[in-house]
Amino acid sequence: MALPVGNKLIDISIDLIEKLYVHLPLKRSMYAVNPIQRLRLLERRLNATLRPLTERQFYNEMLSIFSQMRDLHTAFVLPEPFRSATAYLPFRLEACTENGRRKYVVSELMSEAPRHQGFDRGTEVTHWNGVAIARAVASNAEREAGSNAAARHAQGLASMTIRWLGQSLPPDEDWIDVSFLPASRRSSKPRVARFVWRVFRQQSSAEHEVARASGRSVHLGMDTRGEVERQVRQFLFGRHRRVGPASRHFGRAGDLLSFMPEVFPSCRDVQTPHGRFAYVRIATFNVGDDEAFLQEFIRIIGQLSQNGMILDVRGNLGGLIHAGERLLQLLTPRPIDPCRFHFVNSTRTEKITQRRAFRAWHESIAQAVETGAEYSQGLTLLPAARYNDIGQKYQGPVVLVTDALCYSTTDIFAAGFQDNQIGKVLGVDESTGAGGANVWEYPLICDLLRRPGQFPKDLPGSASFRFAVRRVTRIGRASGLPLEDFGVQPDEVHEFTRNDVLKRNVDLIHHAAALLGPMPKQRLTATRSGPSTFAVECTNIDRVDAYIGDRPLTSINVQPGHIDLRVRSRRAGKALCLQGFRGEDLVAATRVPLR
Amino acid sequence: MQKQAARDPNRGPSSKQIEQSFDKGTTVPLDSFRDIIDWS
Repeated sequence: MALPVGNKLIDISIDLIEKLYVHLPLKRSMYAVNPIQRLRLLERRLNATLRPLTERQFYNEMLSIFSQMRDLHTAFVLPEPFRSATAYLPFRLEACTENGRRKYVVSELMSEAPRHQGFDRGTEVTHWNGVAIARAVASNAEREAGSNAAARHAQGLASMTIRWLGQSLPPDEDWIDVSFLPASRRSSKPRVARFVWRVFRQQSSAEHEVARASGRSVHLGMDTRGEVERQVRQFLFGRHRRVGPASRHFGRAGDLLSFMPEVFPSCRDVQTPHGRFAYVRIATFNVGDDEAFLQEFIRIIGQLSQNGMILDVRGNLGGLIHAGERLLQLLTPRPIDPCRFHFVNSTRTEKITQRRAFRAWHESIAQAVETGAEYSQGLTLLPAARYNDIGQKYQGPVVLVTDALCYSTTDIFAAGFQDNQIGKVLGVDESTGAGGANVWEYPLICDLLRRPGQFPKDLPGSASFRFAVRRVTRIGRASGLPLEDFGVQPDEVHEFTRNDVLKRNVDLIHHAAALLGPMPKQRLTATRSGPSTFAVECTNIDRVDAYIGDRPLTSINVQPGHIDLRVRSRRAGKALCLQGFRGEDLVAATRVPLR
Repeated sequence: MQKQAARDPNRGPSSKQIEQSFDKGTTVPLDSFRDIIDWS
């Protein structure tokens, strides 16, 4: 290992973990880890004259120090050729529960996978290189950076068959021997199949990044490793495989075509015994522009059933935080109170927050000398009005479906959904992935710190770092609680079944539909019927309050059906805003532009 | 790709750019990759 390179990487790590990394106090307390001391020990070993470290030993230790913090946001990224490479096996495993026992089932096979008799979709894997599969997954999970138990299991399972080498060293074994029970004859004797690890090498580039909103975005919240693996898996297994509810179970409504198929791979109506509902899958918040994302979501939900929506964000690893947070307003008549973001108080954050973009945080950080506070004041990322500038667009009840892979922006979205009491959360795991922070890539940190001698932008071989720099705290009943490590606990847990794995989530969708069925439905719409009149249609609403902008206009008790509302033109503002109440509860809202 | 990134440092690669980098990718067995990285 070249000494100057190793020493520089260690110096940068120590400085940024100590003075910029926002979760260090939490991680020290929660996992009893001391990454700073481990880095100092590594520095000593690196500079030892007898038996100096090899490159592999050095990188192994760097990865271990970062993964021990159990934070997918905060990582050391290996240089080329690792960061453009992903090791994979030609199949995918998923967990399900049968007769109260967790089982591991093959859910997908690549077309190039070698054929082994009986090894197909639905095959139950029992052992992995001779180790019982549950033990093998648990052991793998310990190496991964997932935080709570559910997240660790999800990360451990995912990395059984795919690993981005930018953040994991290549597997030790060249091949694996899988013991399995054939899918078609499950009572027959176990068989063994051998699969060779292969490495997919993406065309490398100095600009190699996966974040659409850019590694330089200050508003990123994403599990980058998971996102690389998701994109590589999509490429290897086929971009156009069907992922939405199957027509044979839910009617021939057919998927709507989205202009953003990677983001919305499935959006359609599902016919169930509990009613006809909309189903929308949001596969990622990794978009370049939150406005285009919101407009596409509005277009999609306008074409689907208004009786209720199953919003499925399983496996969504995050992306642009605004995309998730601003989406919330479309699903509720009440104003959204967004999460709060805090820096750690340090000399580095004191310096960074002198910049205009972060100045709102500066005063509380500067005061820390006197207050001794560990974290800055918690503030929203955008001005409050931006979280409510569009208003409700879907008035039916909503069930949000989560899992332990939901991370960062998706955690923040799920927390906002629960804390603003938008609807029920149905989880296939006991928690979301628990990534509660805004993450900054190393080049962005270099730009902000402006110390090229200490923090050179170009590290050898395009090595890099990422750090969680602003922690998230929740609002509402969970006000002030951190999202990191705890995640969002669903209101109800669905035990994933073999049918879910093999029949495109059929039991899960029925479970979500059963939750939506008894929930009250309502409808409030307004259309212009004359130069100064509006036809207002109401269903399951007792009273309508009208505003021009923020100023009250009138309050009307209503019967089911329609009413005409007169708006004098001289009072015209930007929009006619209507709020529909049932009893004392605000249940629907709509806005109509006045010009 | 590099030219575009230089023009707009706040924008990441487009889907098309990522697709292209995947389409031009290659697959090798793990032991061949070990030869590339030259780690014993």
